[in-house]
Amino acid sequence: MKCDQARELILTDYMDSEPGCGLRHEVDEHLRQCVSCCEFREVAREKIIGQFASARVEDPPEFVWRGIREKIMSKAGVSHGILANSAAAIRLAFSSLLSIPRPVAVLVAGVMIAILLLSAAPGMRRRALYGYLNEQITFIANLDDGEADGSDIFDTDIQIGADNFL
Amino acid sequence: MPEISNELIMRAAKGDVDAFEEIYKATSRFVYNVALRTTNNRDNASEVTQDVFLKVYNSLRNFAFRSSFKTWVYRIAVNTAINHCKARSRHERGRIEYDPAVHDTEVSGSARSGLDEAESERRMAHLLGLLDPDQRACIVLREIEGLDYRSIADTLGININTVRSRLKRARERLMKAPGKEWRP
Ligand SMILES: [Zn+2]
Repeated sequence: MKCDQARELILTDYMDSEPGCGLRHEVDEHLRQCVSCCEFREVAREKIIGQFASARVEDPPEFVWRGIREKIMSKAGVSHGILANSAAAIRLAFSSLLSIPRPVAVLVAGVMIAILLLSAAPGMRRRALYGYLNEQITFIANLDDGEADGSDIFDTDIQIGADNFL
Repeated sequence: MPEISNELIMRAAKGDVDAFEEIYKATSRFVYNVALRTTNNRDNASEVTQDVFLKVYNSLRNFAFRSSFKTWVYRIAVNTAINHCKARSRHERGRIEYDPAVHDTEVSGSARSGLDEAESERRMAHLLGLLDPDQRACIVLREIEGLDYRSIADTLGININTVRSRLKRARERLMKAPGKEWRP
């Protein structure tokens, strides 16, 4: 093993004792023969691991929860319609059926949303409706995806979209 | 850390604020500390924490019960903290904020350990300030929260090799910080 590779592993898997590090033995072998890499490891331990070892962990201040609670309470009754309240129950009930291929599920969900919206708001502007439908379909397609944050998509664009119609 | 049952999530999703408070109690310490270390400022950490839990509350009914609930909350937390930093640094041209309140521990007494702790907190804040928000989040999850690569990848919603390369770049940067020198 060359010094560059040993140092790269020292800074990552080796230092973190990652179970996937199949080269641990080779790094140890290299360290037995290389003074420079041994020094590198010592400096890395001191400047990286050592610096954060004493980090304090603390609870958020009391006022944080009070603020959250107040905001939730002030919004209560506005955002909790019958459909909204039932949504989590429906999702849990259907979570066992989620083996349906995603494109099919997205298509079905898209059609259902389209029907619901068209019947609920016939006078709506066409472009706004298409925009909203696209966002809903994208959101459903991204749910549980590794890349999706979930909340960002829902809270901003879609919530705003929904507010326009309700 | 207490477990969060599906039943608790369901109750919170139906608007039960007491149930949501249980969820808050089980996850807020992680959320706040990640926010504190990532933003390096107490006021910002409180703001991010509040923001995260309002997002979680508003999105509860969309939680699909397929992934871990905590990982979902943590992902929202880290992304919110990173976005907060990025938005601020766009406004402030990357200036590293220093909030003395974050780092000044109780040094009113003569306790030497208090001074050491304050110094070590100051040093940690300085080191984290050398990193970009993405690298900082990786270092915080690894060094302070003790997550392994798989958990970091799940929390950040990135590939495990991206975790590896972010940690490597972050640590290369930390190696160049003043202190014990290493010369090839
Ligand atoms: Zn070497």
